[in-house]
Amino acid sequence: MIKRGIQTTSCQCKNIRSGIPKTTPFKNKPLSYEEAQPPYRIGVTKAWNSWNTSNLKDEGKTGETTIDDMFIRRFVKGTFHYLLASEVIIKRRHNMIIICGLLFGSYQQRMSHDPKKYYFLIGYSEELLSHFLKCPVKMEFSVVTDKNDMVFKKI
Amino acid sequence: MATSMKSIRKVILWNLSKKSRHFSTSQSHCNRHETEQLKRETPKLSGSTSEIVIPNRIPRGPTSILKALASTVERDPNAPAYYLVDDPYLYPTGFIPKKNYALSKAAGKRAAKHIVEQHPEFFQNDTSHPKVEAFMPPKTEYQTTGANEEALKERIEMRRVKDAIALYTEIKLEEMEVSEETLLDLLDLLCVYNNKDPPEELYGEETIYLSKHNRKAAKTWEDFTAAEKLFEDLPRKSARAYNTIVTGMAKGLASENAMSKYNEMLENRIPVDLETFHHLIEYGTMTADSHKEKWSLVTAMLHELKNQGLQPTLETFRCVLSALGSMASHQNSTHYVMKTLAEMKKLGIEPSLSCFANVLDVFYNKPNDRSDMLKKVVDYIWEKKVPINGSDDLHFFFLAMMKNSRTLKDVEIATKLEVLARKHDVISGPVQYVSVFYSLYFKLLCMYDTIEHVMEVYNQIVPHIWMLNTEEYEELFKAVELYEGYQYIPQIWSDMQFDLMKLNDIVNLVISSMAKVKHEEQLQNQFCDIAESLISRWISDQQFISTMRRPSRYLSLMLTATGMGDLITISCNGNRFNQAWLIFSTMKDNPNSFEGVPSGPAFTSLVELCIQNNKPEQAIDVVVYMCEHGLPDGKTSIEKIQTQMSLTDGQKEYLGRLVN
Repeated sequence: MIKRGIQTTSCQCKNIRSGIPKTTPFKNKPLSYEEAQPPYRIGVTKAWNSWNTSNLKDEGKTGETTIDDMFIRRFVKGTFHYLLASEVIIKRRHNMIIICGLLFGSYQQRMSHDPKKYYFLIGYSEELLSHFLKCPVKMEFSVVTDKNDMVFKKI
Repeated sequence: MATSMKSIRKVILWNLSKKSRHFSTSQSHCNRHETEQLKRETPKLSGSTSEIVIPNRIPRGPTSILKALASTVERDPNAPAYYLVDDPYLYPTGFIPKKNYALSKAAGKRAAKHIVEQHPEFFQNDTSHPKVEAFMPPKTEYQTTGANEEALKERIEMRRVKDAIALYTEIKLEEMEVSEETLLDLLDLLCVYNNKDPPEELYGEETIYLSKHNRKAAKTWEDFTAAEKLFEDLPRKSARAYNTIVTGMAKGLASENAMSKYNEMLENRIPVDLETFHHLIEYGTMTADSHKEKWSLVTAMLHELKNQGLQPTLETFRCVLSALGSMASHQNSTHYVMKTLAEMKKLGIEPSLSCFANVLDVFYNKPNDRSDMLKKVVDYIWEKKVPINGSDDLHFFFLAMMKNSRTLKDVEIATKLEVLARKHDVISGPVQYVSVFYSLYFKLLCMYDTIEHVMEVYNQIVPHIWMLNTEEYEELFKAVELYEGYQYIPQIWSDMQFDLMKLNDIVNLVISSMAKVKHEEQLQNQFCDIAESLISRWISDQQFISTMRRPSRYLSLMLTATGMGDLITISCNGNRFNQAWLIFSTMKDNPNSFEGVPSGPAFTSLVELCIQNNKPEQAIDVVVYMCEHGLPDGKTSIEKIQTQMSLTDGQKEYLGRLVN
């Protein structure tokens, strides 16, 4: 323990690019626009995934809001399984929670889904999350019919 | 770059100057206004008896500002309905998908509700302030059990009618004492819900597509039910008990029972509530033997109402008019309606839209009634701004539009009705009324208005508010042909591409109106493109059906022989020989695929096109086809070919044989 505790060589600073995906040898890893933006571009060329006022002065419930957002993200990822094409964006306006995102129109480009299924899932999630979070929840999704439309660049 | 910057600066400067000008004018206007006001007020101030008159306080509710703001906006006709997703992939393209998607969403909500009911323990965490009861899991289990008054009270509170009746019989068997207050509450519950459990509440999407016309016609009150037994059991029959049972019976259309109980009340000098009178007037008189007797009952009740010292309200008059509406065929009914309206005016009560609906029922009872009441009513609503409460008033608009299109056929009235309905968002109500409302309106417009105005309305309501059906398309194309609005056809065509279910019904209509006359080059080119897309789609459909296993509900494009002839005419008008030839050869190769008999003129024009393009072989093929099908003008076409074309000897001989 003690032997390992002392560091005598200088730091190499190899892993300083947190949040930036590594390139692959053949440059064939597709990235969407959001993924392609490094974290320091948030607020410049990319927006936040959660929109709320909990970090403003005299506004409480930072922790609760964050945990709720985590719950919502997991719920949406599980309910719209294999369908989410982007991150889940959560906006809180007044007493409302608005959940946005992009969905795939088909699963692995084989058969396109019937829009009825999406409507069912949207109605189900809205109602269940409303009951869970005790406030009106609205979902606003757009559908990406071709997976390749999401590719911004390949690294 | 430099020039563009310059121009931007110019625009900004121009805008600024315009703004400042606007600002200065408004300021000067303000000043002038103030000075005028001052001038007017100065003499008052100079006088010794100056008094400051404080205006009366206008009572404002918590939502007054929101209402004022809401009155400044109206529905955007280009926006999809709120319950649908505004996305090209998820947005429905026809009426049936629209209904399916809305109901799927409602089904999803139902599934979620089921989970909430099954696992209430997961939904107890409540951070809301103030508490929102609607988002709490519903209470399904009773707190108190066993036959006692507390348990009965709980069941009444939770509106469980069946359970309450069962518990009450249990309590009676054990001969327990129950307070009068609870018994009366139970009677209220039984009478309000007509001895049945309350129906399940529908979601918004479901009310639009599933709600049915519930005009009461049959008696729903059952004799000797729990409510009646409970009423007999009551130790002391108070006024409240009497009023409740009479109201319940009248609402359940048990008019005779209600009237006998009402007479009992009069004999025992029990005061009757205003609400009881309302229900008695509206429903209690339904089973009267004749209209005359019915009206005498209504008037007798109104006299009694006066005797009891009650003041009639809007609801009272609405009920009177509703009773009159159900006796519309009576000869004096219009007279009685006018008397009622005069009475309302005397009391300063503004009629509501449901009053007017009954008025219209009376005035336009027979199909040949042509009174100008409808015009007066619509003008009144237009000017007086009678409160319109959204989809509750849909029935009035529906009725008014129906009466108008059946009797008066007045476009102005119809337009006013539509504008009012759209402005007050009446059209987001049950879809069966809305679609009939718009269908009547649109058909009326097609018949009596110019095509320009029809298309203006069309652009506003299609596709988000309403979609055309086959009937309306027929009327629309008639109007297009009448006013020669052929330039609108490409737009209408592209709009209807989405609704494949209807396409087969309308496609032949479109083709025939496109083939009516020859148009200027650009439009004719568009028509030819449509024809080309149709024929290529038909061919690919046939290939799809023959080569692959056909999906069970695949709708292939259906064309008739006349339609094919029209397609040939369109191509000939556009001078597209190859396209016309493709259509002709398709028709020749698949003789059994097209219903009906092809028309002659299409083929004569095709022959002429062949002559123009110097294609003797094709021309002869067409002539042969004409002769085989016994079409007129076959001989003249042959003569034309013989005289106007240079033919080989074999061809000449062949034509000669054909003539003979």
